Amino acid sequence: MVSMPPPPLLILSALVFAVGTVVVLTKQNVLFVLIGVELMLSAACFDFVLFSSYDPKQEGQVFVLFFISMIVCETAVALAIILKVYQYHQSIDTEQLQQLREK
Amino acid sequence: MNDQLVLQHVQDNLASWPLLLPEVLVVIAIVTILVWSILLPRYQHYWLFPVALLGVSLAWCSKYWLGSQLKPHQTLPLFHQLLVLDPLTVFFCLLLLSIAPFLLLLTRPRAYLPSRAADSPAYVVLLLGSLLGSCLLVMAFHWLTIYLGLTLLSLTSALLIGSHTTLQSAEASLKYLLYSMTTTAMMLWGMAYYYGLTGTLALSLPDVAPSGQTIPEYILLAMLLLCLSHIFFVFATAPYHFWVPDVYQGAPTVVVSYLSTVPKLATVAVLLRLFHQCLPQLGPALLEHAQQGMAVLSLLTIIVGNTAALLQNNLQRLMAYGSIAQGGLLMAGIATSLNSQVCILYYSAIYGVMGLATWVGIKVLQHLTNSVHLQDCVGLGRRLPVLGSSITVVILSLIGLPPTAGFTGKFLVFTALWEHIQRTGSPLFVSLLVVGLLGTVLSLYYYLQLPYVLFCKAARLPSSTRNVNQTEYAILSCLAILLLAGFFAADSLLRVLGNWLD
Repeated sequence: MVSMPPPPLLILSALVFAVGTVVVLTKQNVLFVLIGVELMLSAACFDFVLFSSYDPKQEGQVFVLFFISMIVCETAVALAIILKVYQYHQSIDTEQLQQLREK
Repeated sequence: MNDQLVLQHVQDNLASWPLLLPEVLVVIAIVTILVWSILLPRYQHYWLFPVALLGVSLAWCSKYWLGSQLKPHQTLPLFHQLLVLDPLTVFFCLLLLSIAPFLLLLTRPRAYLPSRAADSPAYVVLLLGSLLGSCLLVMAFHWLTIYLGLTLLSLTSALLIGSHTTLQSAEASLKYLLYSMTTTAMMLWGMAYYYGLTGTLALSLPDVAPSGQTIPEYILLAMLLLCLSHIFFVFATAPYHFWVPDVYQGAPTVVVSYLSTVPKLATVAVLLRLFHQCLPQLGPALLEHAQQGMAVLSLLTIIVGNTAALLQNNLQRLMAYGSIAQGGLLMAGIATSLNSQVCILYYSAIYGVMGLATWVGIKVLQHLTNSVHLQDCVGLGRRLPVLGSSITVVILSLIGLPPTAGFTGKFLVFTALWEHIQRTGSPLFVSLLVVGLLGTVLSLYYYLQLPYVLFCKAARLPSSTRNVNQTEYAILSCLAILLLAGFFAADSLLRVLGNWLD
């Protein structure tokens, strides 16, 4: 059983995660949604590092290394797809992306 | 001392590689295709699909060989329990690897146009990559490998969904990727807390058995729900299902037949592993509550899938909601499968065949009518009786009527549910059984629309001149025959499966 990191740091990461969630839910521009997701991911990253400083095996830090490289790939793919959508649609506003929905 | 430990670790890792042979073969196929398509781009349509098929079939054979070397109930840890090899793994990997050749045959371009041939290496590489991710996910026994498998799978799926050059395809892929990234973030947040509370990211918890007393149960459950959010997203469980109809409508149909089978079956394997091997270590009370949570989710999924499917007119959206409802039943099976795995394994195999057959059928209809609406398929069954009857068999199987394998599968799941109710008397599972049966009745209405339109109405317009694609036609008939065989040979199939697992 790992001992708990100081609560203020945990609260900070929870706040970052919450801000990210709000951004994802409220923003209409796809780029801002992506930024929100990045905030959520970095909050999780922060938590891993916090918890792993109490772990002699440092599993969490290894995980974070994998995690960061995967996020870079995901962001690159997301930007590529956003570019493709922009080519067809001349807009990246979620309100206007309504080709696929209930009729 | 330290040197010896390092040496032992290195030896352990080296000894694990031969057990990973099937996956290594898939990687070799991917690398071969990538390098070859750069060095010799001109004749790629001759060798591209043979190489991919060869890689997949070699992987299948080696997996089968590895499986035949395993003793019953034997679990081989690979790379310090990052991955495991056991009968469950072998079953699901073989299932995924046997679906893959169908997908490759379906994507194979008929006319070797230069523009399409130029696209196809990337397409095949992505398909194989996604298959690799699914196989790793099936073998995963550590949150790191679960995360890597899931990410490999969803990243390549997003690219596959966007592989058509239309706005719809791009929009579907964007929606899929954004949902996927959000649920990944939730999953990682949950994993961080799992790590903090248990002190390890492994699914086997050697030294935390008593920690259930110190950690409140509701925190553990909330954490598990977060950890599983990306798995539920891939599986299309009720609160995470919003992407399904949109993506199934916008994506190329072959990709949809992939999405509704391979990743879903891989996540079934992960969920089974969690319920059978990880959660029991956290105490019986937690396991029971997790089962109840699973039952609630599957209840929601069945209700949402069936009611939304009633209102659809677009064939793709109808089948999308139908597949959500089918997934709900599969989840009910997972929640009650602690005593015997056989029925859930049988149902997942049937689920794979049905998912594939549904979308091949839609592809054929789409090709013939150039449309995805029910009313445009009027009278096609009379003109093409083999097509019409194959689709009817698939639809009967989706509803769960005899004489098809869907009936056997549903019957087994409902029997498992009934046994669970007898044992625990839980009202939640009683309502799950009732809703499952009601859902079957509802599905009778929306699924039977298609055979009705195909056979019972005369064609309004003169028949179009388009020919049926022979490959698709052959695959569809094969799958329909397989579904019939799954009903008539159910006894012997179940016996073979049971002997192998228990």
